[in-house]
Amino acid sequence: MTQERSVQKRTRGRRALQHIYLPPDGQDDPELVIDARHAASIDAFAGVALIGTVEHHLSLGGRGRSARLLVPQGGEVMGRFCTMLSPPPKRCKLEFPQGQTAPVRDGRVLLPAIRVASMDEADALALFLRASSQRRQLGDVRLTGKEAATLAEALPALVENGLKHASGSSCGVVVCAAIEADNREAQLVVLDLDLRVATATDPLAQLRDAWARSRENLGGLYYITESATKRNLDISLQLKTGSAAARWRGRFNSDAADFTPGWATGITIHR
Amino acid sequence: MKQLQLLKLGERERVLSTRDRGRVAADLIQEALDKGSLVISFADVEIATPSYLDEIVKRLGGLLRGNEERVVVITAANEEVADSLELVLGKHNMAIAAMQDNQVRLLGGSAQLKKTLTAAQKLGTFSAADLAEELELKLPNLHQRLKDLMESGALAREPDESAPRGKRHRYDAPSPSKLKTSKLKVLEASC
Repeated sequence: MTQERSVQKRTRGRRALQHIYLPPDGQDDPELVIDARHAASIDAFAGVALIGTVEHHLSLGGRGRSARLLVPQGGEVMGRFCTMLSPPPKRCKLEFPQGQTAPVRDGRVLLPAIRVASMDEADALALFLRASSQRRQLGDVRLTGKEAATLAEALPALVENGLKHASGSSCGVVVCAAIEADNREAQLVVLDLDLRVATATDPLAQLRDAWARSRENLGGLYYITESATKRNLDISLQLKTGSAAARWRGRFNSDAADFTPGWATGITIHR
Repeated sequence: MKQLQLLKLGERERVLSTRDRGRVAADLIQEALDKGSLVISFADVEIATPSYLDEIVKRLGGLLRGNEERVVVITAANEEVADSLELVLGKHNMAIAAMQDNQVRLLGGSAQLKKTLTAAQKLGTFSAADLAEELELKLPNLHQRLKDLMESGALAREPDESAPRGKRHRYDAPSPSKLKTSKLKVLEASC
């Protein structure tokens, strides 16, 4: 038996988190197929949403669990999709259109979507991100030292939050970073699927509270914004949990939004 | 300058992250400061998160309150780590001496304090009156700055036994040449 999900044509930003799929009780089949053949764009939000969904599926009990990702049918998005989702988790494979082979890698994907199990792994990925975002091959979209450092410092800070506060996450903590396909913005997104805040009575109040506590206690989120400001970088922070969403770009705004499971934090460097 | 100790935070890790690890490093720093002056090296550290640094800075702030005898100098911090350190110091209204580009400068702190440290380094070992003259300041106006610099670990002082009357002190400012010629006792960084 197979569960099939489709990825929309435009799969970007916070809306891409709508692709996180946690099947309702009793409707869980051992094979998951995510059809991305018609996707025309993909970003780091989509990367964490897809890998988070796959990791969640594979984490559930029962034998013979597997996942297949049907990759876009061609063009640049195919290369971007495959770079962003490679290597896929064990028991998950990327399925190419008939006759197609692995496409050219997209260098703008700075860190493929990947589950992070420990702070040691987070630190290693931070070093990788710092190096990959400053590769000469990126040409004029290459990140400056300050931009790269901002993302590289944010990664372990956000993973630390995830490992500490989302112990019930079925996908662990998933990270992904990429430069947008059609502009110079660089994005780091971190996702967990712990449902405690997302399904709480008032996730918006909890999200606002988490933001306030971070500022009061000089927490990870607070320091990300302060570091960027000190470095004269224009960044925005996006937070999404349950039916609550927030954004910071110089000032904090929060509001009700469509439901998505777990907690996602995105950082975008606008440049 | 008395024998200095050297703590290399990047000896085992190129990324310094998490508050828990920051607290372990702060414990090492505390242990070392109990014994005397300290150089904290960030050589080989590529990334240090502000949360990690926050734990160190907070602890240093407590340990250096009322300090007179110990010097603390940061060395070999890359530009981004120095940026983060300066940010965290600012949040705690603190400053600390750092060796950068072969000069000892103050990370954090006011322009006035930075200027005072520069003048102090020029003199090396000095009395408060010497420094007041160098800065063309009245002595009472200098005392708060000297106290702030000592509480940043950027200056140390000891009683001046040769003073003919009253209680006088000799101040000592760290300089690159002093740091280079000092015999450093290398500490184990087990964080």
